[in-house]
Amino acid sequence: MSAVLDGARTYRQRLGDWLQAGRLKLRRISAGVLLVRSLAGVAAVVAGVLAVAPELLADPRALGVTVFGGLGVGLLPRTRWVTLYALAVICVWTVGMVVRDDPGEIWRIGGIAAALYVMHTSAALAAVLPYDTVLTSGVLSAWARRTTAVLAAGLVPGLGLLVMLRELPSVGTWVGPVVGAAAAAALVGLLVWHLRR
Amino acid sequence: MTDRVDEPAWGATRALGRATTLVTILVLFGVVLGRPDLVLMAVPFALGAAWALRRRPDEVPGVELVLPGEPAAEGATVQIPLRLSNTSSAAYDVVVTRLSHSPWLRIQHGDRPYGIGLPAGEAAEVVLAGPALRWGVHGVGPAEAYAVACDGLLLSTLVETGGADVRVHPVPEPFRAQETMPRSAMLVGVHRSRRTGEGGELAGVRPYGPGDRLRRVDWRVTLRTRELHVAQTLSDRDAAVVVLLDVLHEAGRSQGIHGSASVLDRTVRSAAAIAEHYLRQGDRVALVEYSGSPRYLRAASGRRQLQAVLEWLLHVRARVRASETPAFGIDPHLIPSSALVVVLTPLLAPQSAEMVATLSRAGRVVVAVDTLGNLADLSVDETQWTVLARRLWQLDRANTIGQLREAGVPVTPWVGPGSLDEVLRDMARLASAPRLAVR
Repeated sequence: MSAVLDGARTYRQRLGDWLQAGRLKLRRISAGVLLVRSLAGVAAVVAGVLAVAPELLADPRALGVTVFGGLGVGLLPRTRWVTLYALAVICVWTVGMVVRDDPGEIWRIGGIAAALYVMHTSAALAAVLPYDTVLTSGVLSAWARRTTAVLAAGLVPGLGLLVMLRELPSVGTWVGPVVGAAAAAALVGLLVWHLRR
Repeated sequence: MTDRVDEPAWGATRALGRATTLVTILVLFGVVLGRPDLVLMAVPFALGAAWALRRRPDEVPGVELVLPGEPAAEGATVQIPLRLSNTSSAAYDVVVTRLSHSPWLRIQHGDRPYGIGLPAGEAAEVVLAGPALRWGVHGVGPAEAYAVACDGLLLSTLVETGGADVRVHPVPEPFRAQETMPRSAMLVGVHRSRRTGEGGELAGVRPYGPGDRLRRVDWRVTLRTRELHVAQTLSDRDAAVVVLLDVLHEAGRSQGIHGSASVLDRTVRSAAAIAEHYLRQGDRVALVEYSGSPRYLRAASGRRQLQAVLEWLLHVRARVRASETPAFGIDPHLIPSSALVVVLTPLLAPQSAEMVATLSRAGRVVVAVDTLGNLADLSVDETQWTVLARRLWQLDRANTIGQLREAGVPVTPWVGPGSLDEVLRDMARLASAPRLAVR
């Protein structure tokens, strides 16, 4: 019995220490880092909300899980939580669309892609910055320019191509999957090459 | 000074693994399920990573601490430039640097890391500044830095530079001593000695004697008495002052230049004030540190000696452990017989009082300046025993001071300007009084 009480006391003390450390971090967090982490969290929430079917979002539990999961990205940018959340968003979207045999609205696809990428880059930046870092304004503006450029260069033509593809009649052929697989392998190979050189 | 690793050391961040994983999964599922929307979601990740990694850095950042060569004064602003450089062919998204420093340097944002972007082949300087709160030699550094590149996908190893010292001179407290020195030794200076000779102050008029200069003839008295009379002056002489710092014990808590002073603060600042005053008058000043590791600064005069005094005072340290006894008793022969010895002491240790009495018995002109100040009156947690203990201690200390006075050593508290005037005046009177001589 005393061991249980000691364990409970230790746990309460650790919880108290953790809360105190959290309060200290809240007081010291710098504006720049807070902005980046907030952006990561908000982008994650937006991606989650767009991915979940609207009828499911009416359930407050689903909305709560989505929002808290997304905010966790801003709180824990250095952990695997960011990757897991992104994968969860992709799975939820995919399952929802496959089950309903729905190609998905263009704006939702573009919104999820943009939100996921903003979440990824802002979490990448937040992960390498201590929470109390004093940032010069040039760091954030350069980051914003790069992110905007990637989204503009990647999403705009991609969405246009997707719209065009949907206009074309669907033809059952093996060419598409083969070409797609080859393109995918080439893309992954390019990334791996970049990593190894 | 920069410490660099011999080979570039860059590692992938978790973000790079995340990008690769998401691209692979999205494209795979997109192809298998025939969903181009998934492939579209992978495009920004793939494009962003490929574009960011097209040019990778090959050098870690350089960091250098550039400290000012000139010492600062207490309360003055100290500027510490940190020079960051990027000699790589790729830009750094951000270089994060942190500088550790003494708590007596209140550097603005000094307790936080700094993040600054650095294009390829460029350098930047981050100037950290803040007031120096206390005299002494304060450590700055080491400075650490790491860089992030390729849109947060690559992270460099930590680079560190060595530490350095910032010298902060004590601000002398306002001090003036108007009174004549009891003894003065040499032949030039601003003090009026008791001997007659070339000088400015009139000592009297006497009949002309062989060797007297004609320009000293007092014509008014000569015409009245019809005998040649000359004016006699007191000779101008300089003096030697030995400031003895008793730093056996430290008491009180120093809060820097803008807060309460500890005994050590008061001792050092008053030593600087006394030394500055007499050096500006043209006198010679020496310093002696009475502690576990004694030090001595030879007597000299002039501006250079003032700088030497301020530098010497930077290294004054209180005795670290109570068990450390001074390595020497003060040898009276170390101190000229004509010198005025100003002992700055809190009179907390019996050895201090013994040392002062020894100097006085050896024939030195000694003035003890009490540097404890109002610390003795600070309130403490009162219990029935602390009240009694405090009273006993105060009585014991008052008894010690009384015994020193009986031994001929005046003890005066440090009050800034005029602290020594009264005792110097009394000592000068005693020095000029006729003495009985046994023939």
